[in-house]
Amino acid sequence: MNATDAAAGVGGSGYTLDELSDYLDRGRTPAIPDIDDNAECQAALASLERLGSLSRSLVVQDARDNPTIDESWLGSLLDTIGREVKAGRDIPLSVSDPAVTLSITEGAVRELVRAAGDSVDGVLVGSCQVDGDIDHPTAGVTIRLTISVVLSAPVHELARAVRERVHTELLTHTELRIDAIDVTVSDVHLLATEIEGDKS
Amino acid sequence: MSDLRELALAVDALVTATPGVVQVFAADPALVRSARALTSGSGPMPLSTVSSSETPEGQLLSIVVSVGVVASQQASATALAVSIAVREAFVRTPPVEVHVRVSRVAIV
Repeated sequence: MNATDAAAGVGGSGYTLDELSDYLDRGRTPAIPDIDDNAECQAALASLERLGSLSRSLVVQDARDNPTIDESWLGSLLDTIGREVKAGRDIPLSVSDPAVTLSITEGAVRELVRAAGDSVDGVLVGSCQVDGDIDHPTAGVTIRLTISVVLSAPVHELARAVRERVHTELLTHTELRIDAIDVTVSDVHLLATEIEGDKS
Repeated sequence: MSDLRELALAVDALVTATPGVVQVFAADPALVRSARALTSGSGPMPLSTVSSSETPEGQLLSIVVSVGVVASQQASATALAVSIAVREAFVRTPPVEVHVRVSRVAIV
């Protein structure tokens, strides 16, 4: 995020991700229409909520050796979320009426992918990219996402579950031709209870 | 200008009432919306935009709406329902072009 983007805040709302986080902590009261009416702010708040509930259940194994890595990992995830909630390009949806245009934003698709991935138990989506020519329905696209996983199941099973859920959501809500969904596991975490169990 | 504002407020109400719509968002970028608020006086600011232009065929109304939709039905189906509701409501006005933008899909 450059200085101009930072000044404009999330979705041009004038509010930074930190301020949105504070707003969430206050229970979204008093209501701020510039946030509540802004799709990108709402997407960021939804991601922050999921991140909050999932990250509380995680303990980064590396944090025992390097206590600062936990914070840097979360910080980098927040940066990514801040970048990826942008509306981006309009992805066309087909319609027969020539006076009507229907579209779904690239930001909505990224949020869909992120939410689908996060819905797999023990998975937190890091980054998400939609690569390809989205203006032409016949052109294929590749979805690339990175995930952090808790070792609640074999890594390849978690990655496969993410791929399947993402594919289902994209087939339901978009008309994109999906060539590939590439899932990269970027971090592996242990459950807090497992670590405590190891100590005893 | 105020007629268009009234129309936009009517569009907001119509879109909000369309099944499958979770929320109506500001269709304009925040900066444009702020500028519009400064020039349009007091009263509620619509989220959707309605603009009027002259074309060789006559006056044309352009309506842009931005919506969050439920995940339990296809986003395209909800967007289509919104466009139909708007088109039906504006059947007695000058020709209308409608852009429905799905800005969020709410997965609960």
